[in-house]
Amino acid sequence: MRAFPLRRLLPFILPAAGVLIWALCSRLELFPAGLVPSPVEVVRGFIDQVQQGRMYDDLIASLFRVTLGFLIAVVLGVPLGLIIGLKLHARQALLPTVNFFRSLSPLAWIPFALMWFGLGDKPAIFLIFMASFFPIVLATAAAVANIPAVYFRVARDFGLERGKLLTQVTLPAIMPQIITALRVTAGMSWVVVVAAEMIAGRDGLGFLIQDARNQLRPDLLVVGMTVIGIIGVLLDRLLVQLTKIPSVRWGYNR
Amino acid sequence: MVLKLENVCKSFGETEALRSISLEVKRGEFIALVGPSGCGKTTLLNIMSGFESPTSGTLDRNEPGHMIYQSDGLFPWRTAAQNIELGLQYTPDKLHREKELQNILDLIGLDGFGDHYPHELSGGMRQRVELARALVGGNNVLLMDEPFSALDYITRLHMRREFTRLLEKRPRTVILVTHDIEEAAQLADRVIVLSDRPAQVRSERTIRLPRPRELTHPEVVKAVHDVLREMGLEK
Repeated sequence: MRAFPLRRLLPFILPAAGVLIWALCSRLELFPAGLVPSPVEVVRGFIDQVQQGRMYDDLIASLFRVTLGFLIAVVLGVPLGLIIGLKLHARQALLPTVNFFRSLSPLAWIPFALMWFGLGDKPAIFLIFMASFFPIVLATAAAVANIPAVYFRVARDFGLERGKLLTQVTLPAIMPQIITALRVTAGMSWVVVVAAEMIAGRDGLGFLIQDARNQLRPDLLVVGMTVIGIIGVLLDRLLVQLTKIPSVRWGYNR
Repeated sequence: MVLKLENVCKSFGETEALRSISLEVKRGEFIALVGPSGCGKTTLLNIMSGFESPTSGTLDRNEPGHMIYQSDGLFPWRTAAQNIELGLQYTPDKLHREKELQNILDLIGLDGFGDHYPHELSGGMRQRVELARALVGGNNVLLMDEPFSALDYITRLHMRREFTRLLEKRPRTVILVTHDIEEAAQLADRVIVLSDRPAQVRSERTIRLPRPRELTHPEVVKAVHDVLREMGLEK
């Protein structure tokens, strides 16, 4: 019996090789002194952060901000996208403005975020909201506009109207695209939270990076970057689970 | 009489789609509407279903009908059974609903496929689910818009037999829009040939032969010939 398929190990080969080469180069002192930490220093730095309890606090702080900013963006963005997608007048009135803000890098809001909200959770949540709200609106509107007309005809034929039309036709019809949009924007939010915390944070993984820089601790820089990358991948893995809901599978089987 | 059109005209802006169409459909009758593509067949069907209203002329409709589409009229987020239940939503009794659902799944030969989603079914199976959805719940008129045209030829022949069998069990008035003249001749009691746009009734061909009919039955072949001649495709 082959209990464990070797194929499962494939994703880990490249990182393992990278770490190995990195360790080798450090050992042979090929890097200029003080610019690249050795793997041992990084592991030590990581253990240090965990033991101080800072790692946990920073992680929770970042996750909290992303979750809240992202949820507010979803709760407000999906309904607005529905209205824009369903109503021609709303589309004409709102779409250019939404596109304007969509094209504006959320990082451009950093100065205002600092001026309006100071330091801490609020500016980061604001920036995450600004980063994810507009893409969610646009993705929802586009998904609604692309619902095949035949579904609405069938719905009418079977007497589905108003509330039922929304919950039994419009929403399920756009759900696969919404989930894809959530994955993309959640990834963007995770990128933005780091930037926000680097400038407006007193804690969080972005602040960890900034703090490591100020203390000239390249080992902690690598610790921060590694954790940010891993959490980003895990967040996406989490959202991928949504695509396994039976009633949305059709959207991914084309 | 189930449906009656009198001098129905329909224009979209400058474009005239239908010109003065009069038609009477009796209960239990199977009517096929054939004509060149883009001639306004679907518009006519939309008017009969009440989805669009005529620009002028009158439409009398005594019974509600269900439309059956070419393909992908099923909701992909609902299982086959849930799609069929759409047709049963006005049947108040739950037990009766479940029984009817099981009956129709048996009837279309999809027993055991109720919890499959449309994308897990073949084109022919999906079309049978469409038929089932329209046949449950007691509506008496089926309006079909080229229902089998997305299927391959062999599957289409199977579906014609299958549909004939279903109609024997559950008689309905059928109005079938098609560009498949064989299909019209094999299934319909009356084939109505429409002209180019703006569509007018060019001729009517009655076929008095009980169903199921063989495609190669002389009467069917003769009807195909007559319709083709009417459309200027054979001498």
